[in-house]
Amino acid sequence: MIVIAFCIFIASAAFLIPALKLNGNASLLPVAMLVALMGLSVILVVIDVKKALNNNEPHKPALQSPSRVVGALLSVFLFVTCVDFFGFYLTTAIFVPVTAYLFGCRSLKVLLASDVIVVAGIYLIFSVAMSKDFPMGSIW
Amino acid sequence: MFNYKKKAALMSALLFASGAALADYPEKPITLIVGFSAGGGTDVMARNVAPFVEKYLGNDASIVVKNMPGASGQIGITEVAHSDPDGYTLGTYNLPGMMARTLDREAKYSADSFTFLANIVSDPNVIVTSKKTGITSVKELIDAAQKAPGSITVGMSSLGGDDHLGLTKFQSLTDTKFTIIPFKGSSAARTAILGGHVAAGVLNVSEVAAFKDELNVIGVAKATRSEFAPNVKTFKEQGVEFYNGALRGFVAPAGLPADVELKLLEAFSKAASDPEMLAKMKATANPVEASIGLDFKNLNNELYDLAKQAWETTPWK
Amino acid sequence: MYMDLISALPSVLSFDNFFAIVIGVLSGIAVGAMPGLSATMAISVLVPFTFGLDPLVALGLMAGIYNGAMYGGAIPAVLLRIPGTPAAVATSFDGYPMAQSGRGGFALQVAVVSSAIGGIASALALMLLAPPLAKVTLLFGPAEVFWIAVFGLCSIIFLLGESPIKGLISACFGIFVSMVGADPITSEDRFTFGQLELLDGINMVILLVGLYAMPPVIDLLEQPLDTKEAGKALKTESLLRSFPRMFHFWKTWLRSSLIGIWIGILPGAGGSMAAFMSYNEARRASSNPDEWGKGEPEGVAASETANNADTASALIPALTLGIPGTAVAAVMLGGLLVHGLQPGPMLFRDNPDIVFGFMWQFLFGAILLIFLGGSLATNSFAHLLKLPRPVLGAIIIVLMFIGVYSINGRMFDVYLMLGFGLIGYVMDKFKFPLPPVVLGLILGGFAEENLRLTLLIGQGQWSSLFANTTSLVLVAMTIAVVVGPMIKRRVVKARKSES
Repeated sequence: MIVIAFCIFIASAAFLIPALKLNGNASLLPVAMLVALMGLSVILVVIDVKKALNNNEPHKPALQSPSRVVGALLSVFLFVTCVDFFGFYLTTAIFVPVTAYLFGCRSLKVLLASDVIVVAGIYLIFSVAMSKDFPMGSIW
Repeated sequence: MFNYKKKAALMSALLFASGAALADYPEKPITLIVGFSAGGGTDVMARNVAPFVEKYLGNDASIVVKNMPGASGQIGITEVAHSDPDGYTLGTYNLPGMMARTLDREAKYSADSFTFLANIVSDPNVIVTSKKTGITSVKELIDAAQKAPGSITVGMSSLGGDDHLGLTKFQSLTDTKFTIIPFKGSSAARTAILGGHVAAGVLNVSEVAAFKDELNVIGVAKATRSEFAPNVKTFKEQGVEFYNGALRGFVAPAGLPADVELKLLEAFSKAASDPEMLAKMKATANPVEASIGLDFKNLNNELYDLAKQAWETTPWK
Repeated sequence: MYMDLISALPSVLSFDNFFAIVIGVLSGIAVGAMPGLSATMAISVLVPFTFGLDPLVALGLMAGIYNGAMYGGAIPAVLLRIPGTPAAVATSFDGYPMAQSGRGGFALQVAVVSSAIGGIASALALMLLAPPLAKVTLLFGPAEVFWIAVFGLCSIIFLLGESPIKGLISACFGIFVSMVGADPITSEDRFTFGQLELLDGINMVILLVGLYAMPPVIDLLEQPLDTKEAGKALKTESLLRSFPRMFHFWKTWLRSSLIGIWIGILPGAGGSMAAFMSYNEARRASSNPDEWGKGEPEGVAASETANNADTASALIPALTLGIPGTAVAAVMLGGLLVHGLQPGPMLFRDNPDIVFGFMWQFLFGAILLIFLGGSLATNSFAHLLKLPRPVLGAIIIVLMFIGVYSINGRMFDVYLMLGFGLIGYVMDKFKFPLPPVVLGLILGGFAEENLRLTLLIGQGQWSSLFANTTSLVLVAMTIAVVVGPMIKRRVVKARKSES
């Protein structure tokens, strides 16, 4: 928690520099918010330290399985960057079954069916019916 | 459940299916980039004009409108400026906004980035006052403003737009000073005037046509009266040589092949006088006043100088 | 005027026009139910197509989508704690706990009935009271609107959660995010770092998808397979059987409808604020406020009634004055403009058939919601939930991308959403409440803009904020809402210590 509060403090302070450069009333509210954030994060630390001194509860880990969480976050980021590079449909067609497989769905039938339905459904609804364009990929 | 949506949209999509071209320019669909979202004034103009340009381009031309909204049109027009000058990318162009942005913001384009095709819409400014003020003529407005400079609040859609530059012009013409209140959009400004929260406002004639009875429209900044408000006197009739307005037209990237440019200019100039298109534009409150090619370019430079002058004397940010 | 209303009815009932409403409601529910796709987006996609349609068909589709989407947002909010639309955030407060305790089916039924009631009330207000209500809108200038925003911001107090400090940090973060982009008055760039994409500010949907969809998606992938839970998640029974159990919500329905209508006619705030405010008011009026947030069906009723009650009423200022009450109404105005229908006082005189037909369509759209939204939509989504968790997670990631990308068609927004997603995940894990961020983003910029306008109009005098009666009434209301509960709590405490 102290780490979080520290991050908030640093981030607010960093944004305060451009905020103070703004003219007149344009800087009024942003500066007020950033100063408030800095103040609140200090209070957060104080409260947290006090609490830690008063009772010695065993520390409960915030995450059940950190490796899976990191994996999940990574997969989301990977998906978006791949869409940017390789195009939307190709990435989606590969991403859905692979992710589902890696995270525990082992039934080939379900994987294949969901993949086909998702890609075809999106194509029909968004590209055919709504004529929405998705990224084609920047490498080709 | 997805099926229903598909059907609904399919139904409408079919109506827009159009064929591809074979011979000469255009041999493939032309993309028309609109820097505002669908249903906005510029978008409605673009979609109303596009079919007529298709018609006069011949060759089964097809124009696909692509909305790229953001940063009051700047994102879209920047895209146009940097696309290939092959005639397959056109864009909508707003004045004085697009030129004012090159002054008050870092823009990745300038007047030289474009081939000016046609300006279609010219929406003159009007000055309106709230019924509560009792001001009904230009003379009364000038008198009131000269008696107590800055006492009259004037609402408008934003800073650096046609209404703002217009008011700056009006102030220097009449030696007056008003307090400028930039709202977010002209309808917000109009409502504040209707409610009497600001005393007056600079709007465009198409925006007040439906509110003639609820507001005092004291003058139109145009050489002749506007067909949208024929009862409203022009500023010239009231002794002030004040002309200004918002322009909406079409441009292409600079460096278009000469034959393509010629063909586009011809199509736009024919489309601009098509009676069917004029009727459509009137129904959607778009006052048409076309200037084609070089005329449009001169108009652009004229407005750029005006904006530059305003920016240098009274920068708004 | 009421004669015009009746004479507009037959054309609405023609097959084409009625069919359009049905399609609209169904696709609205689907759009609302997909995280990231909102009514605003669906209607703006539709607008270009309507050039070729008969005006009433086009407007019927729009009215249907608007009503449908406002309910559709509740489905993932209840089942997955991912609000499908910004307006469904408050629905997830009690809807999700209900689903966890196996009452998800009932929660959705409450949602659909409440949505329909809110929608009907709103349509009636539009039909019968549009001109007088438009006059009310004119009373609200910048100063008054500023105080409404402050009033809304004060309701953050009730959303702070267990730790007020964390809640306030969330709120400040939300307000700060609303400051990004061109300054509302001088259009000076603020925190854009030269990115044109940030000039218009950060779109609500980007923030919402990042903050609200990312944590549940990660949770879906984090926990190993668990098919048992999905099976019991939805127990549906006939609406006829469950309806009598909702009768005692009538006070909430009435109150929330009025709040929704009122927020709708005020420009700028929209569905999410209506839902938040009505949730708070219903909770304050409740006899057991401590149960709220733990699965109180009345909370779902309050939120859903209000977010549908602002649909048609948002069109009152839109049609009469040309100022849209919500973002959706703004897009709808575009749809009207396409057909040469200029908003303003003349509209009612020149095109009564279309305007009043449009109003009927809102009414029918709301009524149809009960039939189409009840069993049909709910059951399709029950099937979706039976999917293995990793598959569901992967699909939602794809939908998140589509939703955010479709807003403006640019990758920048998607990366921005990822950033907010990371922040949202950390906030969620460290128990920072998310609703204050949303409310802060909605109302922060709104409050600032109107404050600055007021000061400009008042030549820099801060006293111009208190210059008229409407403002003073709003200030008094705000103080009452903030101080009232404190006094109440003190009195209750004092009584307890006496006994």
